[in-house]
Amino acid sequence: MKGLRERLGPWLETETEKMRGMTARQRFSYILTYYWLWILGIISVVSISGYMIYRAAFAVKDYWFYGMYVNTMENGGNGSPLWRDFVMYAGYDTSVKKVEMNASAWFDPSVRGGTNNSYYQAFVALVESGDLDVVVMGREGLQGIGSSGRLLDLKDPKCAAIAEKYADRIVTCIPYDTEYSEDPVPVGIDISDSLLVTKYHLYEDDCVLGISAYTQRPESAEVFLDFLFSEPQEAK
Amino acid sequence: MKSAEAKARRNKILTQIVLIIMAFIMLVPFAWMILTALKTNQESISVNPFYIFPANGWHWENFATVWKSYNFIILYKNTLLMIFFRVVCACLTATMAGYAFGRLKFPGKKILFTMVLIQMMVPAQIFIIPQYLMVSKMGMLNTTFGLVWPGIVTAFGTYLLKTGYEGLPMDLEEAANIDGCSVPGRFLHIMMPLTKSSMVSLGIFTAVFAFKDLMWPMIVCTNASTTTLSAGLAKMQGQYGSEYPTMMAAATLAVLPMVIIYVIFQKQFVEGIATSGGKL
Repeated sequence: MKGLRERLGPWLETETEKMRGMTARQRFSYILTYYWLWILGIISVVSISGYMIYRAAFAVKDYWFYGMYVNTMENGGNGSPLWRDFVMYAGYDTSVKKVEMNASAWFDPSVRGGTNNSYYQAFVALVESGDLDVVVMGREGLQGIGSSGRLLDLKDPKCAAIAEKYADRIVTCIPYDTEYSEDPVPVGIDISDSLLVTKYHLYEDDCVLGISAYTQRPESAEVFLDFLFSEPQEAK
Repeated sequence: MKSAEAKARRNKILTQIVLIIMAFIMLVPFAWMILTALKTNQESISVNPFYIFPANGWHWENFATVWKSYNFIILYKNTLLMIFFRVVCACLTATMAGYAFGRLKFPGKKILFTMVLIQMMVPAQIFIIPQYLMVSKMGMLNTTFGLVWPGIVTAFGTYLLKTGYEGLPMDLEEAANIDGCSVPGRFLHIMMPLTKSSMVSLGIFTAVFAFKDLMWPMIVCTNASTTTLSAGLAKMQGQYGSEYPTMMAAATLAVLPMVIIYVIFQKQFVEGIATSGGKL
């Protein structure tokens, strides 16, 4: 700091001396000619930092719910009828936290090479980051994801209420990690007769919901399940 | 003598025939895409391989349908902004880091450069989760900043520019040093202008990779108003999965900016590949 002050002092004196006899216009022109890059750099750093601070302070960052619908051709994303009805049903204030629905994913873990694409990698990133809450897809595909350990074991105390409420709909799979369990593990809830099929037509018949292994909000998965089995216009 | 000339001519013709065939093979998917975009759905799923041209007229309305359904202006804008900022940031950071690694002496230089090389050796997917968490915690999801974030610094660019700076003669910098030019002055006025070709190569590589990046935009930009062409096209696959002419019309519109950029910067593209030895 001392060294910087020692260098800046003489530099400032020299520059002031140079500009002494100049008019204001000439001074402006001199500064712009010799220091345009510094000025540009400072403006860039200040504006980018300001923007980052603003976003970090005021942007809506947390989620009420994050769901992904895999292998569907219907619109189930943000702003879709499904999204609107769910937000209304749950009574979520989206100006405080976000409700995210992603229906742009196509992969199939049940077939060889079925996960060899960017959609699956994006799905894995969302699971591992802990942002994703639920994933919905066909039974065999979901069992494939469950076997890889990316879905919550429904015996986990975190989702005891869900397991109890939907005990007759449980879908199991055998984990690849035999150290974890050699017996079938409950990883999904069969929702083939839910609103997702009957009202929103995201799937024709077979679809199962799994809860992400690293979800921070298992209670939102329960709200979503309740919504899927509610009457279409029923409010909470 | 005459037979040698005839042999050379024959070889030249053969080479040209092979090249024409190769060029034809390269162009077939593009031709197929454009022709399918102009067919009816029934025609597009015809299994007859000789059924190439639309029989029931050219259906230009497929382009209008997809243009109306998806706001292509927004998609073009988001993609071009992402490309622009990624190119600017990559060139800026890579040229400064490359100069430091290539020309300056400072403690820990070898360790730091080894870290840069390690970053090049591991798959990019490894960085996705930490980068996503950073962007998410900063509240930058669904913003251009979020799209640009992973491209702000580039290990490949740093390596490319370091090689470029190392290839320049020392005399230039020494002469500037004797004349009293400072390190930033030497970098800015003497050395950086001489690495223009490497910077152009890096800019082209960055632009192409940014354009075809699918996974990152899909993760960070889920809103239709903030997404890019590649991710938008992926969404359309859901909406028009079984309507191949509409899908192909969307694909044709999506490749348009890159084709225009290529036509404008064709010379630089070829030079860039030749300079860096890389492939697009």
